Amino acid sequence: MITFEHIRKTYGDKTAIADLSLTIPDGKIFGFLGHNGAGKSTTIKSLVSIIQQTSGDIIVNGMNLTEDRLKIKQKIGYVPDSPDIFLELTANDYWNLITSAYQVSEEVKKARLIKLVNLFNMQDEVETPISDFSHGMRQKTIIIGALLPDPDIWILDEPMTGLDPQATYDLKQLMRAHVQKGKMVIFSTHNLATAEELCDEVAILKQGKLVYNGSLDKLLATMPDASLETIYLKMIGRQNDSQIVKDLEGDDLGE
Amino acid sequence: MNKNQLWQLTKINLLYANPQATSKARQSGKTGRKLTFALLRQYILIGVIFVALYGVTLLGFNLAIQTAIFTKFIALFTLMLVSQNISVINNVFFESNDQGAYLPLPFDQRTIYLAKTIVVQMANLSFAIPILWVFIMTSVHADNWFVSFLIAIILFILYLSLLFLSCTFVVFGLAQTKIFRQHQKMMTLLLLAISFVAMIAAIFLINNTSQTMSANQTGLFGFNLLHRILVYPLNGSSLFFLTIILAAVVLLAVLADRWLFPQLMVEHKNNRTLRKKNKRAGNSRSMKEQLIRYNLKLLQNPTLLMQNFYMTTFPFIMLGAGALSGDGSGISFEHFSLMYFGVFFLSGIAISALSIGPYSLTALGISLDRSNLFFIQTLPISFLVYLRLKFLTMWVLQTLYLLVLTIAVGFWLHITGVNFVALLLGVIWGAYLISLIYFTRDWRLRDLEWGNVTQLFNRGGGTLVSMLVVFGGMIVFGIIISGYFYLIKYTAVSWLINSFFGLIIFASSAGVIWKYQITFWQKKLK
Repeated sequence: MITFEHIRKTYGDKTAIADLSLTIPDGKIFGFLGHNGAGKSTTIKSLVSIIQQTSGDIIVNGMNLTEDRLKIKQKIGYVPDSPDIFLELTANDYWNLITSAYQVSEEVKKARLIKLVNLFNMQDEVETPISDFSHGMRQKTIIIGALLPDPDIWILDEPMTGLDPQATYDLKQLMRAHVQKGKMVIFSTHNLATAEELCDEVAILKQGKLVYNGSLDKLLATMPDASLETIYLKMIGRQNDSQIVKDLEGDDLGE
Repeated sequence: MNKNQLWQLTKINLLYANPQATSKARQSGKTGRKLTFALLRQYILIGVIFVALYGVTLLGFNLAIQTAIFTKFIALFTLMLVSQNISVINNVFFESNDQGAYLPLPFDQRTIYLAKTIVVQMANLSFAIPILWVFIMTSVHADNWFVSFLIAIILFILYLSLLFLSCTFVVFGLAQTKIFRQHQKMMTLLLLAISFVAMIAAIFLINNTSQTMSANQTGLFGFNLLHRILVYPLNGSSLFFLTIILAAVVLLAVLADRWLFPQLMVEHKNNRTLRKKNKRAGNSRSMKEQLIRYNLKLLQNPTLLMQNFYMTTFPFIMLGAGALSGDGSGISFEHFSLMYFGVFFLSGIAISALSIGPYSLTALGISLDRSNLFFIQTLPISFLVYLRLKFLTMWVLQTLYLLVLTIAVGFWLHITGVNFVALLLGVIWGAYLISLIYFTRDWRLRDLEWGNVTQLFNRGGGTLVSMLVVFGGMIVFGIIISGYFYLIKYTAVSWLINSFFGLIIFASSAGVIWKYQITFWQKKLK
């Protein structure tokens, strides 16, 4: 279980997260939803130690992140929003680095790697430098790396971006399979259809503040005939979109 | 500390520190362990070559009694090592930009720093080994040679650690400052420039001290204490100095471990807080001004600027080293008559031809665009006009730097009046012609997916070819300019000689312009 306790993150006089408190249970797929700049990535980056919160505590399985950072990192597998990391390494070099970081044994690594490489159809690319990969291939490389240690907590920041339909489908299956083992999957997305399809629980953020945290089913039950997109936009979107679109389509600025 | 993690991290930093060698080794099918050993082999090779080279050089000296020679060598290699340390620490710790990528991974920060430190030390081998040799060659001539030899090994390790830690504090300390984080690229350039100046200072140091220092002098202060430790290792003052060095190393190491390295986390975090304030949108600027500004921004790469700075200056150092290391009194071009106008103009062209190469701005400008080049082709502006603007921006900047260097050398050599103007005009015209050639070459070999800017320097033959061009060019231009000079000096028909060479320069220029400007711009890019 992960608990965010009054997390605040500021950049100078700009507040990225304002007093965020929420709990993420084990065995669930948890989604962070929100517009650009809502604080989704900042929250996730705080959890994976890329940035440090200005104040508040993050508790993972009873351990405080500030005090037991290395132990907590051992439990987390992370897929960043941009897969442009370690570009000079080959896919295999990268996976070796990850397995040494998580101290995965050679036998376990080999067994998992064969399955994952086959799943993502990367058999012929393992010795190719990551810099030569397309965005989607880089994403697959990072996803495989995150799964090699079979982490208790799998965190993905905008994971579907750039993936082909087959890889997207496979990733969703993997996320479901991961929680079936009693583990946790946390991801952020702009894609509400994906969130609706995958999430057990969601947190909706707006300008760094929590608007909703809880079961997706409960949220959907508040408007039985509406989609998540409709509910989401009602909660944090503009109310007069149709008028804005009419205004834009009817203007003659560019004529 | 986990040894497997240290090995993996060292391997990775080795790849980062040697992008070209990695790329070449991969192209020849080397991966994994073979690739790592191929990279390690180059360091071992450098070590072996330097051991042989300096081993032979130092055989002729009895450094145990020649204190001045000892301090000169140590000062020289220390300056070079400091320069190398600053440059490599910056590359491995900061330019690699991998701090953020390690943060989510369960690596102990100490393991990451140790791996990086190992790679820095490998890159330092070329200058560290001569220091070791000087220490050893001094110790073997000492009275109590066995003790001295052991002390030499210990002192070498301590001295290397002291230099590394001191440079780490300089580089990391600067990186913590607000001004560094706000102007990271400029500050990195400044750091590299300091290291470059240290290197040049070292070269001139050896030139000057070799003429003025005699063997029985006490040598340079500070470095002679090292000599004392090696020659009289059991002396009270020697043991005292050795203890001071040991204490300094321990103190710096503890400070680095407790204070300096953890600051890197803070540094990474704070980078985000120091975002530049939004400047007012310059919507009143013309498209031309916007494009020039954009092209100038492409050059904000410290490695590129430093390499350009170094390689452009290199022929000047080669040509001017003799004159500059003395007082320059033997060479003066003050009283050369107007008849030599053409010789100076041709010399200017030669300066440009030797100084402009694959590392010059005009030779890189197109590739620096990366994928922006495709995007610019989709914009409703003339691509031809865009490339011309780019060429002119790069040419002007490159030429300005060449002119500054030429003016400095011109004053030193007492070149005056019209001949000086002719020299500068020659530089400008030569830079234009050679830049046209290299700009076309950049288009032909354009690489829009480079990761490290040094990849661009190595296209089409790389550094080896460019060095051959410089040395070959020196010989060819040397023969032509000398011939021109002596024909003017010893024949009575200087107007005829000048007309002949003028015609050759005109014809060559016309040929270059036809091939690399008219044909290239008018046909290929339309």
